[in-house]
Amino acid sequence: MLNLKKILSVLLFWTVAAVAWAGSAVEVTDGWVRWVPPVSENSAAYFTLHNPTDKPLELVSASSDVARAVELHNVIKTGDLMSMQKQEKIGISAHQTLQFQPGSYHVMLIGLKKPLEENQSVSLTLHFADGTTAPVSLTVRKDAGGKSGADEHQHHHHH
Amino acid sequence: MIARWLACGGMVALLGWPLLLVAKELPVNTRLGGDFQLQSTVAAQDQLSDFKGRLVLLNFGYTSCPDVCPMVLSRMTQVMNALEEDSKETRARVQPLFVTFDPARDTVERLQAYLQHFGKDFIGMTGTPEQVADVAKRFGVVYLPQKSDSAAGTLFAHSDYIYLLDDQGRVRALFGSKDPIDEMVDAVESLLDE
Ligand SMILES: [Cu+2]
Repeated sequence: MLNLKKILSVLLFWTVAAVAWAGSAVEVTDGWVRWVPPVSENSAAYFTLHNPTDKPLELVSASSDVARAVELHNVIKTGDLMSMQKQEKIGISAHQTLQFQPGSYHVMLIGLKKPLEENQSVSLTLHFADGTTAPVSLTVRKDAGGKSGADEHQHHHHH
Repeated sequence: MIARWLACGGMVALLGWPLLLVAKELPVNTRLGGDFQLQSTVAAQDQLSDFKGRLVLLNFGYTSCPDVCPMVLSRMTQVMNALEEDSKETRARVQPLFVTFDPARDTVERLQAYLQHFGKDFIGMTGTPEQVADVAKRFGVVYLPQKSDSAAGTLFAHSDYIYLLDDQGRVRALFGSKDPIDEMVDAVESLLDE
């Protein structure tokens, strides 16, 4: 029994060390996930990604427990046509800041396992080409810019 | 004194201009639009002409769309909420309407469950693929199923305008996703004042 405990603690130590070792230098801020009606099985995650290093970085995938599949997407506008396209990778050059926002780059959450609740926090891990990862925690929100959705609307009383 | 009068006159001219411009900017679009009948989330209101006497904010999309369509719908919500800040009656004079171009997935039931979260007064419409294609064509809406290796299944490349229709169902303005909410509200209010 004691041995097992010891082995486990050693394993845990190395796991934590490995995670710390693999941590990416990117800075992720202003993260949120779009709240969608329960009938909708897809949603999207948005954030600001900053590469503070002197080297370019490549975001190659993202993962999360809340959805069956997680993909990197971009919305391309050609004339009047908006088309959402899966991206194999998204490059962020040295010292660049990239906005993931509606109508542009986003991390698509496909096949939500459970309907999203407002203010729920969603864990997402970003994977980079150099093998590093960045864990991010995002809050489920109704819409960008803190604008109120239908259910949040404040009623004004006139007397 | 003269300078002051000039300044005042200048102010009047400046204030007068936008009003004139707004009125002139919303001519009837004769190329787009026309009456149509589809399956509706409100059975008694399944035809565009059922909304005569009220303005309509019309948008085309599909509920499996996770980025562009909910963004456009929440813009409609913001406009409707801004109108309600004036009064409930003002809001009631404008009908938000969503027409799907993905009838294979978007049933009336699904539209109802989806749209109620954007506003209780939102109405959704669907139909046969041919009916939907006909309506889309009349409003100049383009939607193309995309070849994609996404796990999301069929995704559409599509236009994302919000159409402002007057109380006769005529197209008066198109709004793109970059147009400020305030401008949309102003346009709606200028039609309400007509
Ligand atoms: Cu997407």
